[in-house]
Amino acid sequence: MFELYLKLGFGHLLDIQAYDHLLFIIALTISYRPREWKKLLILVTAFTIGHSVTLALAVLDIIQFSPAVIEWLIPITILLTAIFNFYRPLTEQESQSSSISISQKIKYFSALGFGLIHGMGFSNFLRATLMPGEEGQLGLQLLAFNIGIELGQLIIVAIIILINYFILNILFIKRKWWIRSISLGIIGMTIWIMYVLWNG
Amino acid sequence: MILLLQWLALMLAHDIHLTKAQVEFNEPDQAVQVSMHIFLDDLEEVIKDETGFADKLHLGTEKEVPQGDSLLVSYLGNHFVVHVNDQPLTLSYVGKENSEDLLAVWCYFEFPLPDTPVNKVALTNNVLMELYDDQQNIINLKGPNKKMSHLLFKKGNAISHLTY
Repeated sequence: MFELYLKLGFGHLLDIQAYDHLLFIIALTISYRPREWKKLLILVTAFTIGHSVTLALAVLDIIQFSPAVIEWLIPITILLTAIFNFYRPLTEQESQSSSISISQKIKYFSALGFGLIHGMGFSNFLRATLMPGEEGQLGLQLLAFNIGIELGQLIIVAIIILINYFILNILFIKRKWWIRSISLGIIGMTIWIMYVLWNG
Repeated sequence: MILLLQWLALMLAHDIHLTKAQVEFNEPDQAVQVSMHIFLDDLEEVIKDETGFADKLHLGTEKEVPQGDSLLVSYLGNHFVVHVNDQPLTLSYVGKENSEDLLAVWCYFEFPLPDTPVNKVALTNNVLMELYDDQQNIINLKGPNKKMSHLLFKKGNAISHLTY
């Protein structure tokens, strides 16, 4: 049971065909230099705490919400995160430390807050897998699924760090250009997601 | 580029591509009994694709066509296969009922077991995989020795082998 739900969580995050969570994580982490990986991990942890809380609350039926509303909120979280990447202190050299820490704080709190929304999205999938008669195993299923998601997340973040290293330190592509291009691409794809949702 | 965008749009977000089933080796009843939850709109599409049936099936509604059940059974038999000791078992349809949210059906069917002790089991479950590349089918299996297994079937990995 644990293994099944671990695989389901891992596969759900890394599912290229359900790419909204992937877009969010990329938007969130793309502005970090490879050597800032510690800050990045703290940021991802904030997102993790956010989604773990609402995933559990939703699956345990402690909170209820309209899945359709969450379907719309998730692209908005991606848009806001990607747009924020155009905020100067993120894309320029570390100059005034005070303005950097404000943008860091904004990132941490938004990662936490947006995590709450993505967790509700995850719960839609997890709830769909549940079958009658196994209610006693819900805690185990929840734990395994969440760990699967975290593992998937770690893989994505590791890949992003590696790609960033290659782009910035080997190809010497300008960091500001790189962050903004990726963010623009993400914004475009997210607008497309919203367009399809609207016509759905 | 347009094709890429269209592909991306189709691959959107959270259509849940999942079936779930409870499968039990029921010794007293001498049969492998299956309850399987499948989304109606997906079933509609694959059954029509496979059987060439021209009209809408309206499965699970009052407008269901008379051939509905037999078309469903034929589809299930092709995509959910049980081998015991290397012999294929025959699917026997019991019935179906709508899920609470009316989006899916629980399909009930069984496979009569031979008299011999069950040593090898091979379960094939590629339901809906021709429709979605990311289709996942899960099975909670209660085996001949009452041992529980939890199986995940995906495209390219749609057969599970078990020994008892």
